[in-house]
Amino acid sequence: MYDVDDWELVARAQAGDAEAFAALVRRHQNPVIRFCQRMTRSVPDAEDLAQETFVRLHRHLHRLRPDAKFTTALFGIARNLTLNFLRGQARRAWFWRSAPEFAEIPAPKSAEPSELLRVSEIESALESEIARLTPEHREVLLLREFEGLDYEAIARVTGCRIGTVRSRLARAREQLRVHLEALGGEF
Amino acid sequence: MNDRHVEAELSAYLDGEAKEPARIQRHLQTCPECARLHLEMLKLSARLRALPTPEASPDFAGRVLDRVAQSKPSRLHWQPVFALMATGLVLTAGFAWFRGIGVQSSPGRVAAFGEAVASSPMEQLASELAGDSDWGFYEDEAERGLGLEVTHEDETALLTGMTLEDEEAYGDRGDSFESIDALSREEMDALAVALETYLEEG
Repeated sequence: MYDVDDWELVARAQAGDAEAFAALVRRHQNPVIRFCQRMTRSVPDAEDLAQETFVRLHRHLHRLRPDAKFTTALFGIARNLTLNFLRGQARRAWFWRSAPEFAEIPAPKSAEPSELLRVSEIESALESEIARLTPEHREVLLLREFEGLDYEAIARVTGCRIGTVRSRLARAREQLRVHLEALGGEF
Repeated sequence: MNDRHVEAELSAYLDGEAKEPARIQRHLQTCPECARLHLEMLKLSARLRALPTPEASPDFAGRVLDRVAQSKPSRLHWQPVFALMATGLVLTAGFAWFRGIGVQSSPGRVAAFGEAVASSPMEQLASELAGDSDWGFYEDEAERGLGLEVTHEDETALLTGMTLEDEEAYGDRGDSFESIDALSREEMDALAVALETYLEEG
């Protein structure tokens, strides 16, 4: 079923084909978890949010129309859930007068031991700097660089104009570039 | 035109979303500074896309399908209902609290409350105890059932340390004093003479 278009699977799922919906989940689970994890910096919360994303997708299957990319609808749900999660986390942190705690994203694996430290250092710095971006800048960066959405799709997901997507993305990249340059190394 | 730097547009150019890609391309061929920035952007993008991708746990899809199977379609969305109930509770509690504060803070209510207290038997009792009390008060208050059950017998014992029988005996002696007051002048003179004689005889 991997050669079938997303919207074809959606149409089958809308007709009650449970296996078609399962194929959709398996196809998109890693990207959704990746997005949620980098938005929340929490591995267990990311899985919960991704799970909730697919449950809500199923609940609203009958409302989906193939007038855009399927991932636009999928990441739209994931994005709203993660932003609500972050708002709740910020409220709790404000209430308890503490900074929200983030789980460390697992260290990357490298094939070459001599390169391990260097690669790990750069990747760790990148992950930290992504986490330091505001949610508004972080979401456009993730949707573009990791999920490959074009500006129009990102604008649909985030509910802002294409010009806003363009400027936020440029600012996010500039922040990452400047930070890595300040670390003193070629990247 | 080509002399204008394009660093602000490099991000969109990288994504194929720039408004003037041809102009940017020409500028990059002649401007080493913007060309260096462009190269750094390309490397950054490559680094980002090379970051390790977290993978779902093996049973992720199964758990999603279980949840989907368990969730019955419901016409009633409970979340707004609970939110409404919680709001009602908060409003009720807030109103009750506000009313409580209102009694304390309203000058008119405080004045009326003060008058009611001042006219109460307990307040009269307190003023009597604090100032010019008379013992008859206790009998009155005892009759009005205020718990100050002071009987005449108790009152006598409290004041004189005497029982009622002692007081009656004392009253008998008082009667004898009254009998002295009732002596005639002749009797008083005779009594005085008798007393003087007694003193002289010594």
